[in-house]
Amino acid sequence: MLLTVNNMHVSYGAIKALQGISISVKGGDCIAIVGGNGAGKTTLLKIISGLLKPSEGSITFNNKNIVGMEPYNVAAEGIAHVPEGRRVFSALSVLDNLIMGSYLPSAKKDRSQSLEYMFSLFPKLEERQHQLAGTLSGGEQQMLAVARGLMLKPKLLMLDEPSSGLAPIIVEQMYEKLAEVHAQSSMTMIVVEQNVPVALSLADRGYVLENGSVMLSGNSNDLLNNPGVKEAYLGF
Amino acid sequence: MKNVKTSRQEIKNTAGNAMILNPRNYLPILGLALALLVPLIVTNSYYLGLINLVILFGAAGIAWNIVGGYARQVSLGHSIFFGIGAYTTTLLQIKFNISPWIGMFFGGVFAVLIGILMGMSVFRMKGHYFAVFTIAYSYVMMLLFQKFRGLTGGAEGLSVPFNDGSLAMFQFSSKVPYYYIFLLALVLIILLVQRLGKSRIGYYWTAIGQDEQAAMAIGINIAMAKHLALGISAFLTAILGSFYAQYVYFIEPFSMFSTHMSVEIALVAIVGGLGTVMGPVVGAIVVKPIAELTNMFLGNVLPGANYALYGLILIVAIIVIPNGLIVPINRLYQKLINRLERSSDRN
Repeated sequence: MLLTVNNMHVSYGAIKALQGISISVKGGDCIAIVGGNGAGKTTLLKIISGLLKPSEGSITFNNKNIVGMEPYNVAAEGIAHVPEGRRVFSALSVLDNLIMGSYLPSAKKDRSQSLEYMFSLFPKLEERQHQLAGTLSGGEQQMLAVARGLMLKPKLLMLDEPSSGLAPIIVEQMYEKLAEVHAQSSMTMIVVEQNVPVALSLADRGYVLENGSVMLSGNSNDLLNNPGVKEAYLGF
Repeated sequence: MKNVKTSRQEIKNTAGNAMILNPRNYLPILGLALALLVPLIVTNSYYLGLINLVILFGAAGIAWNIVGGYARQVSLGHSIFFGIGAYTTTLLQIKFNISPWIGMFFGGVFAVLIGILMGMSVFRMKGHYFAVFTIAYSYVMMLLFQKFRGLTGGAEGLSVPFNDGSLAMFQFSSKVPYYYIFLLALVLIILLVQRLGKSRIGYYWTAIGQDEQAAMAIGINIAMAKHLALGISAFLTAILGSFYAQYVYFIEPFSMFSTHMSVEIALVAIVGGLGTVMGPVVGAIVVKPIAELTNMFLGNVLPGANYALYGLILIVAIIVIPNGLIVPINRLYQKLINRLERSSDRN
């Protein structure tokens, strides 16, 4: 297993956000974490990348315990977190945003190669490389955020709601690109989504979260066909 | 590969093949040359004194901008570093007859130490809370300097020992030498911050200022980067504080560590342009004379009205040009450069 999260508990004050979540991710796998608002999806990603500290539980990445590590050390271990809501540095150019993603020594030596790859993956970003990131459209900003995460050359890419606030056609394009990355470099990925069908169609496996615990897990196809999931998240 | 080039490399390339004939190069030099002539034109000592303060606070605004503008940690406690610089050099001079030129570096280092101590707690706060805590620290410093009279002279303050004027002791009877020294400091700080802004750490600061969570997520050690910003800012501010003490000859804790002093430093950067190199200079050129003129014309007639008018002018400035006065000035400057470039192309 590349990543194992075991019995994770987190509280925001008196409110329990995660109540004993366990997930595991094999190297090369793509998994989807789906569920409604407040299910604890974002919290889980923040815990893994070190932005939040758990009250209980363990995380092993690459056979190393990473619980309680500072975020910059987690990033150096090879985990890239693309936070929710297109968090690009809007006053920096597109190119500078990408370069910012590759300042860690392991990523820096391959910077020009990574840039080339990003530009072939997202030609729009090459066209607009000298534009300020804040002037991009919503979809382009999301692509930039993903590309910036990939510039780290991560072992694990974690995406928080890459579809949020985007038009359906853009969501489709976004997910095509993610599938391309996953297929070409067998990048291990965790995708957190409220958009259940699109995430499950990308992922090999999925976890359905509810109220801070894992309600269901299994192969994406099984989940898509699960009557409970259908009823709760797919609307039929 | 042809497009895979960092923007910094490109900037270097364009700078590399440009000669002195490029307006981008000769305009700043021309500006500096004009600045060198100012004391020959402004012979009135009151106005030259005002210009000196403009330069000093412009430089302090640039130093503040490192942490307040680039990293967006809006400090309202920079009087701490200004005051520490002023006090350290003055005390070293009084007690050990150490020249301010040497003393100022002790002040700078002392300010960095205080900055690190402060940073450990204030950087746990965000936004307004951060600002409020920096104010709290400046009050603590003010009280400490008032209480420990034996060392600091207490609330009565300290006078810089008079020694007939000499370069070695940073003391002059005319305002002209101060002008050139302050101008040199300003130019050095501009060059330093310009370099820092384009360095890796400068980009870290900008990233933190834009979105702290995203900066953390891409692996920036934000605690380290913020401390570095505060440290460099504190050092420079302390040096300028010691200049200030040598210039006004008298310091006392109430004004040196006041929030008013902190706000004056922050304001030149905010009005001029957050996170820009030249913004604080423009800010100081506008803010300082307004403060001075409103005080001169209204201070006696209607005490208090000067502050109201001063505040009103600043509010209007911030509403009309929220990104700082540097924005329209930069636009004009760019136009001038384009025009000069075109006319030189034609020849």
